[in-house]
Amino acid sequence: MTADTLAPWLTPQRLQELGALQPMSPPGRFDPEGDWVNRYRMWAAIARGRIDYGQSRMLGHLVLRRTRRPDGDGFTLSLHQKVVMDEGDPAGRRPHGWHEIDAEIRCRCDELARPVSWRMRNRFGRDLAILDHLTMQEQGAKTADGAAYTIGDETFPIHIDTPWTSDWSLFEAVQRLDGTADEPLRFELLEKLRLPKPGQVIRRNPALDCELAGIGPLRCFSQTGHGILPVDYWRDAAGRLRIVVTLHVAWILDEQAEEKTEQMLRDGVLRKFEGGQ
Amino acid sequence: MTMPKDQPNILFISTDQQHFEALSAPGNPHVRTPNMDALAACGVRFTQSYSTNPLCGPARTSYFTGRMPSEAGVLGNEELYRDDLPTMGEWFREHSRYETVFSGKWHAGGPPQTYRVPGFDVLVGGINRCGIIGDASVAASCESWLRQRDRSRPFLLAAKLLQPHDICETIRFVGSPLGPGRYPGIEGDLPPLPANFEYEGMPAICQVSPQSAHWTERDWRFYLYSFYRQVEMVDAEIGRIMRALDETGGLDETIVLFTVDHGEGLGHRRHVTKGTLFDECVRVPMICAGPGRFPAGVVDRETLVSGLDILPTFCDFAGLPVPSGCRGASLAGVLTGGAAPRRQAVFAEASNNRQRMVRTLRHKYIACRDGTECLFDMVDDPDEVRDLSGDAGSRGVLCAHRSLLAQWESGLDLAPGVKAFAVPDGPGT
Repeated sequence: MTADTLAPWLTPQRLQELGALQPMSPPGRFDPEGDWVNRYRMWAAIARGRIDYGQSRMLGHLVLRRTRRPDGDGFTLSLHQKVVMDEGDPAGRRPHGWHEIDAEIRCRCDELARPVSWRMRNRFGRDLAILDHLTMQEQGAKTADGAAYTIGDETFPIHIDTPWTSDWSLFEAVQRLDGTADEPLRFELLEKLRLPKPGQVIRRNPALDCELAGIGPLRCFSQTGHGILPVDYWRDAAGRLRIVVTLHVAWILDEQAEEKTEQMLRDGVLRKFEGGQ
Repeated sequence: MTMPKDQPNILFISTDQQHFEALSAPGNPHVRTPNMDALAACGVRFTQSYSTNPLCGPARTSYFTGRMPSEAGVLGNEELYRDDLPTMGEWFREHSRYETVFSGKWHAGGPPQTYRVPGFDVLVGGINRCGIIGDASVAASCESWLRQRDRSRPFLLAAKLLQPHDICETIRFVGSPLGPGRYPGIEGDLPPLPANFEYEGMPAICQVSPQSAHWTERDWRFYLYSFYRQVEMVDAEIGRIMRALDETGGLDETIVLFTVDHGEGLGHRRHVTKGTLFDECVRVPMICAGPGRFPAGVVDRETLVSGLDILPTFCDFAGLPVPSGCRGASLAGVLTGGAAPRRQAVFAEASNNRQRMVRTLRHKYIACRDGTECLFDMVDDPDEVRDLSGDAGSRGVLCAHRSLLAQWESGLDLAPGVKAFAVPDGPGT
């Protein structure tokens, strides 16, 4: 292999070398079974030329908030995701569109954080204004055959085999997975609570464990399956999910993620990792 | 303006860089594409469909103008097409009451993503070089729009998804040390290498990709695995759009055309990404579905189809005239079982105006500006591994294809500044 044709895989170490992990939020006290908020910066390692990361940039953010239900029956996972669209024009105007998803998902407190019911809203915007004609609200629930979602007064079924969970739920569940179990977990994925993806497996992947200065040891779980690229989840010693990578895209714990997204929308793309230089 | 009464909705879905066999409908066991398969099951799947250029910008320009890239002046990515050519959206707006809506990757001259697509209202642009994230937004925007659309007008919705183009990003990582057990458990799912991965006498015009020069067999197979997972990603997003169309009662009123801008090397001839005129890069999936209008579940293995045909086909179904100068032919006759004349050949360009391809029913001829030529018998040699251009017994076929190409080139209305292609004048002409 030659240095000019290779890019190292994205790992916590590589992200740290690139400066993409700064600033990390202080670990503080964290209880995966308790109430918490995790804010992630969504980031892509995009090359200019063959291998460098000259067009790497932030894509948006994902905020997950876990709240235990007062009746003790599972928890509510509230999420807010905002992704900035590339909508430049030949004159070089900055991008200024976005897509945001807000949802509240009632989940079981089982090993997959399986969704029981949910409400979700998709909104789109451009030039700092909402495009009302594209707003879509729905609610959904698990059913005997899988799931169903309701838009307006119409309900539509989704067939999916059990056990199934959502991609967002997995961000919660992986923090509670038994790190000593050898057996992989097998399930189906209902991505974005809409898209069935079969044949999913998540397992401990000690080969990718690592230790980072200032953060400590990170334990890895890896997910493979149909309809996804392999996903690596790294959680810290307290169990908090710090970094998620699926090939060239990463979710990185970042307390300022939302502010950075809004800055992108105001000022243009944040090139590189943080500062927009 | 007189309006035809029966104007169907038109849903034009495309993906980016999808190899022509990277769907499960033709029997590929390494990928699951239930939504593309469902489209094929309710329509016509053309197996001999060709892009006009194995590169995003030029290929997409042909979709939207009905012209060859050299006519539009878009020989590479990011180039602007000449401004005297009407695009699909502009033509439909000028000649009909269709609502014309666009979401996703444009790149038909100009930037990949933009909020300004001529003749279309843009929903979202998506994310450049990140279909993993952006395609979900494109599909969701299409769904939102379909559910809330104005039902009093027919629509032309162009849903331009980006995956599996992210393979261009992911190949950078493939050859890096995976380490034993990077992804335990997928070994049994790694696809085998293609039959024409490597062979003696690979022609000089094969572009060996520097990114993959050092790959091990496992690296190659992991690349194939990754590619197929990305095809499955975009298939799921197509399913979201199709469900919305179906759930809002629009399926029976809509013609759906699914195709791809160009293919992917996928290890044929040790090639990754795009750019060559071999089938892996220039041949593309093409499915036309129109419940109640076309026969269902048909596989058309004979009709030669070009990316140039999309605009004339849409015009035909909408009852509109075809813009003058369009090089393609409407597929409406073939789709509805009429006696449409079958064309003799389709043509493609590549390598920034330095290469040409002629595909006839039996043969493929490739010519380069430096005089290099290849000729393949696509029936006996579908893997394109036996170049017949130097074969004395094939001289007549070679000359016939040179003539076809020369005739085609002489009829092109080249964009200002585009150099004409001189067909090789070798022995036997």
